[in-house]
Amino acid sequence: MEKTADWIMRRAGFGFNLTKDPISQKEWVESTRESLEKPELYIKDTRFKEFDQLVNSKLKGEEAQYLSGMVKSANGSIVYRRTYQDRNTKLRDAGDIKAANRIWNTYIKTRPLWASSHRRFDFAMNTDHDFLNRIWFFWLNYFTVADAMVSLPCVPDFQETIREKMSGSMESLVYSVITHPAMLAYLDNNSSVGVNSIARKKGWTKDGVNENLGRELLELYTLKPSFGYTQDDVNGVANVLTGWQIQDWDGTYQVVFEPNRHEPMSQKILGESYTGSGKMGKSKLKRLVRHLCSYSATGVNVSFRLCQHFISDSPNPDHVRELSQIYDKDKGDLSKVYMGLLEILDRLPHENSKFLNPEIWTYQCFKTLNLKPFKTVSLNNHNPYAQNIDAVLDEMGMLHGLAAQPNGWPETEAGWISNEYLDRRLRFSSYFSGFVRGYKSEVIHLLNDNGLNKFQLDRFNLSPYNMHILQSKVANENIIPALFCSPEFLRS
Amino acid sequence: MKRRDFIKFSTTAAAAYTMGHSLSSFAGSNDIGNVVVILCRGGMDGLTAIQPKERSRLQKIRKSCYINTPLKLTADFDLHPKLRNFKSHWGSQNAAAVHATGFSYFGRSHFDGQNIMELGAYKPYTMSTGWLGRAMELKNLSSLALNLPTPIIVTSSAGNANYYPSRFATPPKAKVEAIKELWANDPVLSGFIDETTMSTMNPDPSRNVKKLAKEVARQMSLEGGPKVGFIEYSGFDTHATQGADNGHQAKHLQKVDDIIRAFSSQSKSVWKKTVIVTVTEFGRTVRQNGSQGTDHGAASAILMAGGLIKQPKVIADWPGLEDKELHEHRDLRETIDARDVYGDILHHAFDISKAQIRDVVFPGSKQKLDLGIWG
Repeated sequence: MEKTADWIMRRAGFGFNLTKDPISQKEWVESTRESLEKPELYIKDTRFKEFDQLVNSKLKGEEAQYLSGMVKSANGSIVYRRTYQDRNTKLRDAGDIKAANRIWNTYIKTRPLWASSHRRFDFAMNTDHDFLNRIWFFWLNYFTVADAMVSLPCVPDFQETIREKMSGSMESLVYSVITHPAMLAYLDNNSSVGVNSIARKKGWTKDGVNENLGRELLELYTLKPSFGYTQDDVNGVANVLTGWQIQDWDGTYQVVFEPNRHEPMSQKILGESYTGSGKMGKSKLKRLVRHLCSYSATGVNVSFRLCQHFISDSPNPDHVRELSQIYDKDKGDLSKVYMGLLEILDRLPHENSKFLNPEIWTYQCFKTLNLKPFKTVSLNNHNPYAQNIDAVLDEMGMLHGLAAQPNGWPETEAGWISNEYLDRRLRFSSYFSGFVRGYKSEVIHLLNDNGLNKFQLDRFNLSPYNMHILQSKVANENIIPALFCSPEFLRS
Repeated sequence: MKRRDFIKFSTTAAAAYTMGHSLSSFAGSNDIGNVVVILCRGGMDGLTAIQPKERSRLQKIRKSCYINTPLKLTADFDLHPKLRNFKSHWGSQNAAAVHATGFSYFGRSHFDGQNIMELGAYKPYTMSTGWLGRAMELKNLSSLALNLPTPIIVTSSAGNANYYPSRFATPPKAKVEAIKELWANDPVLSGFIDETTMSTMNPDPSRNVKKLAKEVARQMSLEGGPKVGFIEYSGFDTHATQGADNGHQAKHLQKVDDIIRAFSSQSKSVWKKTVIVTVTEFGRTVRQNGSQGTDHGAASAILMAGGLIKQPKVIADWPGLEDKELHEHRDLRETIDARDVYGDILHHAFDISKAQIRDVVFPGSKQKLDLGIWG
């Protein structure tokens, strides 16, 4: 019998839809291959525009006035309108500091995070490019930005930038990420100034070099510490990164490279010289990123992380090698690496062995039952913003914008299995099974009346024992939480 | 102790308790002290917390981070003004500090450094359990963490529990039973989730470390209560505008002081047997950087407070702050292995022999340090 795509759709995507008939794995892999070959189709999927209109249409009164959503800035990047901040300024000027603080906190803490959560959710539910979308989630975690007070307003554009660049070369992805205002703010590079720069010599600023971004560029994004670079290399990278600034006085978070703030002294990094005045600053950084991405160590880092995300907590070295060889051969062409990953996934045995993180698992619960994203859960009547998926994800312990540190959320089950994390899965699935009853969905109707038949249960790749338990011992009204918390559904 | 007695806590602050593993271990537990660990993620700046009296040098190389109005500690060291409660315990002989200490880790990576500070190993990712967990295991203690994940520092081969209140309602028993049955044959999942963990809690939205510390103290004061408290606080990574008397690093030190105060105010009965201690992955650069902040460095300081301490001291083999005295011309040189400091604390608080600490808790360390603060 031909393999169905149910297993691979859970492993490499957001799951299968129980209300639709299974397709073959061959068919799924074929269409995914096409999607990888034409990433522009995925990039063009700008559902966030419709999404934003929908969100805005739901806002009322004063809320609508100040939470007016994403707009395009002069350079085409998507940012949040300034109105909230203007309102904040007016209240402050009028002396009502308390009200000003309140409105600012609401804006900064809820809106960008809330909207970007919904966009991720909407994409996960509705895109025709599941694998690429999972890869997008992978990179959003790989390049974590999580500083609520500084970088969040430009996070939506940061996410879009990654989506646009992630199917090109590693060097263009890394360059776009590290020169984005969200990253420059998150890792403190926006005020990094060369000590021999014109701005310093003329006394325009007393600022100097900040090594935070330079270090993470080497440590997290490219080579990893095991490569053996030195503090001198970190210093050199930090110097090449000087001169980048965020200008946000018009609320649009433009990034400007200011040659006068760039370090003109020659830098030696991993044996190569980077020479030139501020005018050469951008091309020096481009060359540096190309240099770092040209190392096999960077390819191995990316390959290992991809294998860890999609295949196993302890990746098979052969799989890592397979991908890193593609990385080397195709000069960091990431779509080729994804293609290699797809080939590996296609030949893996159908074992549910990779523990799903809370976010992917939550989305798979929705997708399996064919539930639409916008009717979500109300957890807290006092806060209207909590009636949304981000409140669920926060409760589950994985709201993407709130990872504690630049290395992001864990990729392994050790980071996600504890009594309390598992307790949340039980609570959510129980809550979910009650709340989905309100849906006029065929599948829910079916579940409540009849439970699942053997054909439907077979799609979940259950062990014979658990199949037996679910069929013989679990009451129909408990079938959803039991199924979603089964070891086979917690993993993929 | 009922699980419902535990309350709250935030994603940036977490707490763990250790309690007697069995009734038999309670019998001897009267002699056992209490250890509260404050895990300071991000790299606490030891020179800001405990500022050496090298005024002209410091004013030159960390102009905007120099503490102008410190509290007086000793002839050689001053204290950050936000550490007022630490100072008052110092006044009652119940506080001490160690300076120029660290985990002999010089790679300047948060993630490798934090892994080392929690494992107690000399190389990152080379052990599978945390040093506090191994110490507790030696005394047959188990731990309970008050956050979603289990902190690495308390993991050991014995089981660890954790607790965190949920806004989701408790599922009906039949649903839980069905799931438990499905997990029964799973090598990883079986054993997780029992009914006691499913009790309904009222969410406390304040997520305040002071309340957390008070609750830790309250629980530790109970008859047969926990012996180890664990509080996590992150944010010390002040690369830009670190501040001095006030500012970012000061704000975080204030939180450490708040934790000490909240704990001591609530823990009257056990305070005399307690030591609260800070743990951080590394210190920060001696010179300030170009953004009035400091970058990742090497050695830092350890703060200790509690009634187990009888002699206020700053223990240090001071390496100096001149260029040639710094590690790689930029970081405070480490002269005391932090493992020896925590080892001496565990030795006195839990009565674990130095040999056991050397073999089990901190393999590879010397454990020859006597802090000389125990009276």
